Amino acid sequence: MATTPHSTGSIFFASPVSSTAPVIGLHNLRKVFGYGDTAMAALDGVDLTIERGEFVAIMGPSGCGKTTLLNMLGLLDQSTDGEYILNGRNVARIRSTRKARIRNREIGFVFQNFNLIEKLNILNNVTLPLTYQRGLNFRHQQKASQLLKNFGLQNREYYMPYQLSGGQTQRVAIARALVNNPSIILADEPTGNLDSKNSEIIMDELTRIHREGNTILMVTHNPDLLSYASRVIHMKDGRIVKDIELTENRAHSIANKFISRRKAARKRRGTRRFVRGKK
Amino acid sequence: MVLPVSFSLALGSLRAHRTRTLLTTLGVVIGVFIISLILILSGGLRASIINQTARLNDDVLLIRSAGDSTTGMEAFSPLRVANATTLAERDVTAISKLSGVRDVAPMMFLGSRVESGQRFYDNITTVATNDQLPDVLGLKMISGDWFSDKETARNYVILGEKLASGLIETNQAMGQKINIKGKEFMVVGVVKTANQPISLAGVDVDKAAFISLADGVRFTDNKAQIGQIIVRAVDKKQLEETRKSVVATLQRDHFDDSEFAVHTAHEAAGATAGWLATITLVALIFASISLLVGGIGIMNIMLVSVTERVREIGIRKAVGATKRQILEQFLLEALLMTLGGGLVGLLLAYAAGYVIALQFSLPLVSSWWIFAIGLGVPLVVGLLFGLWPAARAARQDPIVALKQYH
Repeated sequence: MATTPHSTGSIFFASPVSSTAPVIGLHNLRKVFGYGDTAMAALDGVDLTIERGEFVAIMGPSGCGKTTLLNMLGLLDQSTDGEYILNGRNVARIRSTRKARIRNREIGFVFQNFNLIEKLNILNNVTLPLTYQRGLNFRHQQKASQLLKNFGLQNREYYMPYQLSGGQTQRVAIARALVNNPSIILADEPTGNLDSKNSEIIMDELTRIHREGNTILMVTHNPDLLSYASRVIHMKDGRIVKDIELTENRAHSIANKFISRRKAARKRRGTRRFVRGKK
Repeated sequence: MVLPVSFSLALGSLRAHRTRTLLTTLGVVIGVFIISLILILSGGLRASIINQTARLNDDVLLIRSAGDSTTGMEAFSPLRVANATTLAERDVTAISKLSGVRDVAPMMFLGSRVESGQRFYDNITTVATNDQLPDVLGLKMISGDWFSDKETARNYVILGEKLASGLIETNQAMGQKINIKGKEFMVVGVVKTANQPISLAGVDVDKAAFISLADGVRFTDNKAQIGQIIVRAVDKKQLEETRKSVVATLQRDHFDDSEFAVHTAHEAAGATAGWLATITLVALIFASISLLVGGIGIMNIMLVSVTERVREIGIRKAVGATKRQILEQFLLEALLMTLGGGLVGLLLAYAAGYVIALQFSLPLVSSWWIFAIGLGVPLVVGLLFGLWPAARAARQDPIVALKQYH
């Protein structure tokens, strides 16, 4: 696996101007689903600036707009209102073909529900982003194969997605997101389905990529993972309610706080379950 | 451009739905098969008409009673020849006296019932003619001899090969008595055509009976009603001069120029070829409808395929496939189906064409343009009917596509 993300020629980091500008700038970004009475704002005026090389964890209750924000950042969805400046360029003015190319070369997307193509084997699934680039297919496959090896899946290359366990599937989905050496990684609960050992493999890989100077945005419910992040954003009802820069120590303390809170919550749930069971 | 990738993707997804792909492609296979077969056979027929008939008879003039203007196939229809005839015995005599003329064979067509002791056939074309016909048409005697024009050679009949074997059960037709329109004739010979599918005779020689003109006029109040006169020139290089003198002779003896028409064999064959071209065109139009249906089948399946694969399209777009790349993939799928079908149809058509050509002793023509049509038309069909489904696939909004239930 090539470890320098920009070695293949970045399309928008190439210009010297944009390299100093923030990677992501959101100004009063809104996304409204539905019309009239049923209109619901998934994003209700988000302002956010992310510099190159940040590792941002996004937290918040479900339905607070985390996934919508990620889709928006990943150029999959268009905002209803507001501005999205990606590397100094207003996204609203980027044409769809160029957006596709940016998604292809610069963005790695880890979906919440894996989104592997059922009919393709693991190797081809991981190779998928590269097939839309120039180059020889076998070189692409070599690269994908190397990445799968890093994730401990080298002997699953020719399996079909349905033959894998949840954890393995998740690792494949992450391998696919990383195969094109993206400079921005958007991960929607990348370790949501993994046990702690597998989580560690994934997070180590993300950390390594982060250290190479890439930007990572990660939606998570798992406070353990906050220790990897350099910044935590809390969302609620389509707005950013908290935005905290983390130093090493701070990160740990926040993580611990969350962990204890979660343990308490688990206890409560357990009790409730017990009560229900008695009925 | 990721054409090789799209190619393998398209091939892969077609392979994944093998039965569906094969059934859908079958429509195109049948369409291309029919179209190619029509082209191959009509090409063979045309070649045999133009090349064989015309080239073998480049010293021949055909005089046919024309009546009105000679347009298209009507002028050369044997039926037309048999109906209104204005040519008479004296025309034959006059033409035979011309210097450039070697042989003159009149042909008087009589549709009649022919019976032997054992069997009978209705509507057998009986041709009343003279002793020069076998030379002029290049007929082969299987047994016996052609009758002479002498007075003694009365009530003799020559049978076409197939008529003879149908009419007379024994192997020996010679000397048998048969009845034509109630008059008794003796079989003195059996004849068959030279190996050419279209003859200048205007009748199927193998299924005809031949009697002398003198016998023939007895059926028509001793007045010859000659449908066609075949003239063979002494020198084929002088054919045009001979034609002029023939025309001049006829003009002298007929009041109206439009009563007759003089053609070279090549012209007559050309008209038959034109007539063939018309039939071919009509057949092709009908065959194209089957291809159209095949195309609609492909469009239908492609639409189903796009709907089924909305999520896949969403994933592909999310990882950076452009609209064009998605379009390419789905269009290529349709094209692979139509082109594959076209290729199979073409090969089947050649196999069938070979068998048929062998059966009817036609030349098997294979020219580049049959291949061009056999593959070009499916290409167009694929583009035409694949474009809309592919465009639909390309237009998918990745977010909507990804939200599809799976």
